[in-house]
Amino acid sequence: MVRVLLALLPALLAQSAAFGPWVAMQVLAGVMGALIAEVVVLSLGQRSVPVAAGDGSAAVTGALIGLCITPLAPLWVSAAGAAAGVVIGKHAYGGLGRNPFNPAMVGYALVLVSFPAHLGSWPAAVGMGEIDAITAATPLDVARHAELARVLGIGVVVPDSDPWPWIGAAYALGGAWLIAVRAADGWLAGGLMLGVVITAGVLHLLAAGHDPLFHLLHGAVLCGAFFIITDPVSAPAGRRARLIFAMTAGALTVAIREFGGYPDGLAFAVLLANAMGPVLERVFGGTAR
Amino acid sequence: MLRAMPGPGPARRPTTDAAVVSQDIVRLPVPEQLLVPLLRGRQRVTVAAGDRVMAGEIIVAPVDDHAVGALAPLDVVVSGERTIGTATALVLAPLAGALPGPVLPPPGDDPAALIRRVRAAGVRGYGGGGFPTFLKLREGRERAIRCLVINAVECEPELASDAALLADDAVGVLAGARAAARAAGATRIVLATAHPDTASATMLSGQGVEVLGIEAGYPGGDERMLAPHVTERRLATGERPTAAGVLVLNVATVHAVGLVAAGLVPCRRFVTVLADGATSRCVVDVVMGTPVSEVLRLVGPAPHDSMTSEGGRMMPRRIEDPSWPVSPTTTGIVVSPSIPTAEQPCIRCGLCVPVCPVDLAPDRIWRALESAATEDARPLGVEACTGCRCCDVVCPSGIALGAAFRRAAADLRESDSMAAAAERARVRFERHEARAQARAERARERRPRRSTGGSRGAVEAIVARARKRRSRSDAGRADLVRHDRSGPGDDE
Repeated sequence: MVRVLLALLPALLAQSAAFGPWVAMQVLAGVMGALIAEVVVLSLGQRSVPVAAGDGSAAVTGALIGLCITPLAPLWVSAAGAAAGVVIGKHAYGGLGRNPFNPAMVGYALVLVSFPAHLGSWPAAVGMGEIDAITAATPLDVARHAELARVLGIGVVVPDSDPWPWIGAAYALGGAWLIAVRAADGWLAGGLMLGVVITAGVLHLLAAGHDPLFHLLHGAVLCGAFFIITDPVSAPAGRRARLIFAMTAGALTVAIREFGGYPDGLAFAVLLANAMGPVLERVFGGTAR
Repeated sequence: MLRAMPGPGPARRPTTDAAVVSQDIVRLPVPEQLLVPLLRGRQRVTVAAGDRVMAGEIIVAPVDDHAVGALAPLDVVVSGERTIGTATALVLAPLAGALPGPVLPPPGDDPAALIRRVRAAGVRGYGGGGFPTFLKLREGRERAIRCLVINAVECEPELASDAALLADDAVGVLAGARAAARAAGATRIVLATAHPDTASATMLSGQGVEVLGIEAGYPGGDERMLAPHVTERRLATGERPTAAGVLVLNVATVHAVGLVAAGLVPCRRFVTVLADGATSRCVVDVVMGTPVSEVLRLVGPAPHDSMTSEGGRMMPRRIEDPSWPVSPTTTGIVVSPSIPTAEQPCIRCGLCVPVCPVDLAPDRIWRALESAATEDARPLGVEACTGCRCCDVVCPSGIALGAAFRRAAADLRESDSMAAAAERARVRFERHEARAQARAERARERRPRRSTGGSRGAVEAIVARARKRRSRSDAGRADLVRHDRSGPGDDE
């Protein structure tokens, strides 16, 4: 778990460089919220608190939620999301090792659905050239609304510099290291990216969606591939089942982005794939590797 | 010389260099007391306390088909029986300080005679498994095996007992291999070793034994992993190497068979003593039956609060009572400090799956065991687990998987035998019921031949006939005869 936090450092730096130092505060708020919730719940149980809380899984949940939430949101949103993720996403199912859903995504989805306004606006990236813009549409927002704008016949401001591919690369860097030291399963990471690329490719060919590279580099796909879908607890066992699971999440991400109601569908796609996890394990898992 | 690929396992952990020279081995003397462990119910002691027994005489006899016996290794006086922990052991007091030479006539070339003697001498697997060797030789014969593999791989890190034997008495190993091959019907002998360049291996190679070099790593000595190297056939889960025409015996077991073929009683073995904090590991040549505490006393002090185990560091078998004797399964003695381990829950990382040498999925088996659904672990292959503990080594949560799987396999075996006993009882009951029913049926069939009205009806009929006769006698006798013949009331 400590290695996961280390692997998130490049992404933290990249996001801070793009959106300002408040990103770090959100991460801190998320981690605090998660740890406090973890200690409270563990002290209600019978396991020794220092031993159980020391596994670092709550800190990882908190950090991921902090990175996923826009720095413009109040800090309590991160903290609440992280706490909810730890309590409802993990401990309600029996604690470490027992949760069928990814705790970070449970927390994020809860906050997203409960406080959509707070999560809606990302800051204008530093160096975007808009002097008096505080918020600007993310490329995914732009992609979403471009169609609508075209129909309405109004222009859409497209930011000149786009920090998201760089942020994605930072996630990929940390993630690749995790896979190299066998702290994350490469099949899950590769499967998600493959699912995204294939689905986006098919839709693009049918002129119903954006190109695969756009989908891969924007939004939370790369973060999701290396840090979210790779949560071993909520993934099915068995290489084949894991590949199908991750590809399903990738496909659903693109589907929600293109046809659904949210700019970035990763959180819900992962949760839906988590729900399919046990069935996938039973059907594709086999009895051995 | 064949070259083989290593099996899966944690990162290639090399076994220690086993260039053990004969002078480095510590030869322990015959102790004051020898203990012979007994299997209650499966073995029967044939001597009584106070008996003076000559070398080579039978002291323990097998009771069931799968048990072995025991012979006195030297002239002894039987002291009695003793309880060690939950087991019983026969206590012998040696009368001499040295082991005798051949004490029995050699069993000769007849395979059956050799196998019988191997059984009587109590030869079991010296590699740690302890499986009765006579059963393996017999099965090899029945399954018409073609190849005998001498297993000197000794993949347990730091153990050098087999290496010491090869260095010390390769000639004895060769004689044993030839005897075992004759008994089992094998025409090909292979030596599997991690050190194919030693003098012993070269000598054996010159005598017609094929030398198979196995890359040092753990695990690697399991017979199911060795068999595919000498045959084309891969074993299915649960299949023994004899199904592929291969019989694998530990090198020390082979040596013991050779001793039996020469009319000797196998009674010594090499044991590697490993102690944390001791100077280095030590290989001892010890008489089987010597208490472990005696070995440790002679070799080095055991610190307080330490745990003594039989075997190696990877697959230790805890010895509760240190007066437990050295037996054929004591490949090593490990003394380590008792450290409590903190176990975290399984996070399903799946790192245990690629390291399993028998292709099991430990993460899924653990899941089944965690939910107390031991039966669910059966289709996952938990009974094929060798207990190598490679999964323990890589588990980030520090779960003792190997031990849990072995316990689960034992539980499954026990529930199987109980189910089989219940089935037998059910069949017996049903047969008993069927017999009782058949008896009742037959009894019912016989009864309709008797009177349907009972005895009273018979009496009344006789009285009626008598009255009729008297009334007719007045009418005339000729008519009477005719009427009588066709008279009513005839029950027959």
